[in-house]
Amino acid sequence: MIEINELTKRYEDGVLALDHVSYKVEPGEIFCLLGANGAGKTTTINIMLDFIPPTSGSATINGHDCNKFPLEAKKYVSYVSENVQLYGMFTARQNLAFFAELAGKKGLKKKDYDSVMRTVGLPERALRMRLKHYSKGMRQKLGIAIALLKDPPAILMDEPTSGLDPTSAKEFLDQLRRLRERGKAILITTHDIFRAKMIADRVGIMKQGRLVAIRKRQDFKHADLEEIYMHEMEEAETV
Amino acid sequence: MIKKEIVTKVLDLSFVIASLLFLVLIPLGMYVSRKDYEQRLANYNLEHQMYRQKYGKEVSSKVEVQGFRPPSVLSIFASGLDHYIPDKVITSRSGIFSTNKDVRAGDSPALLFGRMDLLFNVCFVASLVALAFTFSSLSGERQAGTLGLMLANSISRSHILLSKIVGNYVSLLIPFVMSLLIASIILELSQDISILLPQLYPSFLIILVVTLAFILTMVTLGVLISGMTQKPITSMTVSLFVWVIIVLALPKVSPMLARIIYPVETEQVVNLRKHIALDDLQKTYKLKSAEIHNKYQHIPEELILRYFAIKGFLMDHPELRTETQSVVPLDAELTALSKENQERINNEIGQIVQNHKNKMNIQNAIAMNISRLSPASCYTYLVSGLSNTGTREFDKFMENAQEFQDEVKKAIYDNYELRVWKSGSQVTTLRTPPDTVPDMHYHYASMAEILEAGLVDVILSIGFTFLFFTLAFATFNRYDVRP
Repeated sequence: MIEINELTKRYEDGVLALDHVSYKVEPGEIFCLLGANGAGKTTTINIMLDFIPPTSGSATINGHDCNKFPLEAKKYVSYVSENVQLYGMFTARQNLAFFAELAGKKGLKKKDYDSVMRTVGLPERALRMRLKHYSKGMRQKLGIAIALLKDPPAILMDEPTSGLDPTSAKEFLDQLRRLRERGKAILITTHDIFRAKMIADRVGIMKQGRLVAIRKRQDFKHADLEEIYMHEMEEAETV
Repeated sequence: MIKKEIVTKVLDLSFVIASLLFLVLIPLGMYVSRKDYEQRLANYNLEHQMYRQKYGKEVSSKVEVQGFRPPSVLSIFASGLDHYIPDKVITSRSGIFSTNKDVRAGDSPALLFGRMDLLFNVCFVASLVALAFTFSSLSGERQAGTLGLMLANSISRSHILLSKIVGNYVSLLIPFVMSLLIASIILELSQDISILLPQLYPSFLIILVVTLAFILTMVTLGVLISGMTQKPITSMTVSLFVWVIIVLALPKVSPMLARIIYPVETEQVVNLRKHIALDDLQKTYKLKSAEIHNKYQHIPEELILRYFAIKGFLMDHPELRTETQSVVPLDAELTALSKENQERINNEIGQIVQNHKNKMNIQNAIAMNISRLSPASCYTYLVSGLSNTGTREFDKFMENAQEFQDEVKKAIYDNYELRVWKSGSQVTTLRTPPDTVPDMHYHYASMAEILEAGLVDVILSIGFTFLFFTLAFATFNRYDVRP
């Protein structure tokens, strides 16, 4: 579903953000990209969304090249950002309706909105609330609701649990599991090793633009992922 | 997308402020302009009527016929140069008319601060509001992350850009058009003005189109600035800077630059040159006149006086010719000298005036062309032109004045012959003058003339909108949408 092939990004100032990175995310899989700030995790998502062009290599979603045919590729993906802001003066329903329309979902009814609000764990009355009265956790959930309304086969999430309280983070992880069960290919960038261990089917460890290791769930299910992460980082340093 | 832009803007504080500004300033400006016009019209009618009653029927060789310029009803939209254009022509026998401007002390604050008419409200207020509406349209959404969220969908950047421009434009027009409707009602309440007047509505419609186009230009410029900056605070600073340059600085600096680039003598210096030339010519004339009189000094002065007294009747009374026959050669030579002198005055003074006018035209053209780098200047030239208060109106006034001067000269002054000779002057009535002095029929520039003169500004205004849109499109295509 999501395929990254020898993806490289060098910025105009010479900084190498991505260095020949390759991996795939299959349907029904949660792939977590771990790494420190500036490791290149978000750059991959930015290239997939055509926010920035790659220097070389390719990223495809559902077989469509994200750089050559971005509009086609973006039909099959939803994006949940680190800090979902949305439009504060709009109600949740207005925000949902606007982004659903952008995603090509027109003529949605109240029951559709109610259903998606329940799915993400937001009370129905929250539909009528203006976003400026939402907490960060509620906005994050609404961000997922927007992704769900589009109902694409792939979802990109950039640091989605950043700033969430433990309860909201747990609810969020439950939501991710349900999405996986529905066959979504989910790519998450995070430096939250604890939650990555809880949810990921595979983790990719990035350092200074390079994907230094990919570990399957069985590799870290009964091990300390943090140790694995630190070990891989030291290995990469030695190399 | 467009609907969302409009709803977002309508819910924003900037919409409330814009609505307040438009709904207060535009109707108020129109009311003040209406009252000002009514007052000027009443003053014109009174002055014109009083003059006609007192002097309209006093036709004599000494009469100094005056013509009056009626105020233009279109000046309610843009007072422009109306308060500087003369409103009275004083004709003269010499063929050189003078003008008069009634400057009232009570007008000082208005002249100092300018008038709050439609032109001011659009050029200064609406342009600023347009930038205030749009400066954060892209950078604000980028910072909030919503721009990235939008572009994560299968939607093109040009679509978003177009929605931003159209959405902001429509939301700005809502209070603007409402304020114009109120302003129109205020006009309709006047005894002297109606928006449906044939001399008003074609210009009003064109001014409306030009105004809407100017607001679109400023909205597009605001979106362009927003797409060139990353943070709303930077966008706001740049917008304010650009506004000051194009609305305040460039139009005011351009005449100064033109004076440096192409200096021209002041009016006072030119007037002094005219007086010196006139004095020299008069001296020469007097000398030559004296020479002619010396040549004919054998003719008794009483005979000469008698000849000039009866000259007007000689055609009908041939029996009188015999006794004054000897004066005819003197008269012929004096007439030829007078004609020659008049021609020389016309040529030399005319040349000084024309030279100065040509140089001033070049300087003005330089100033106007520099100022046209600003869409606000193009808009000002267009609207003031359409309101009969633009730069062209000075020339139009002079055309009218010259036409009136010629008409009066033919109808009144040419009926009398003024002869200057060594011991005084003598007036001879050549033809019976009309019972009343001519009245000035002032013609403002026609719509065709205005549009012809404003064509360059129309083209430039369209060009600015197109340029800003193209730049906004090119910039936004490379815009870093990452928050």
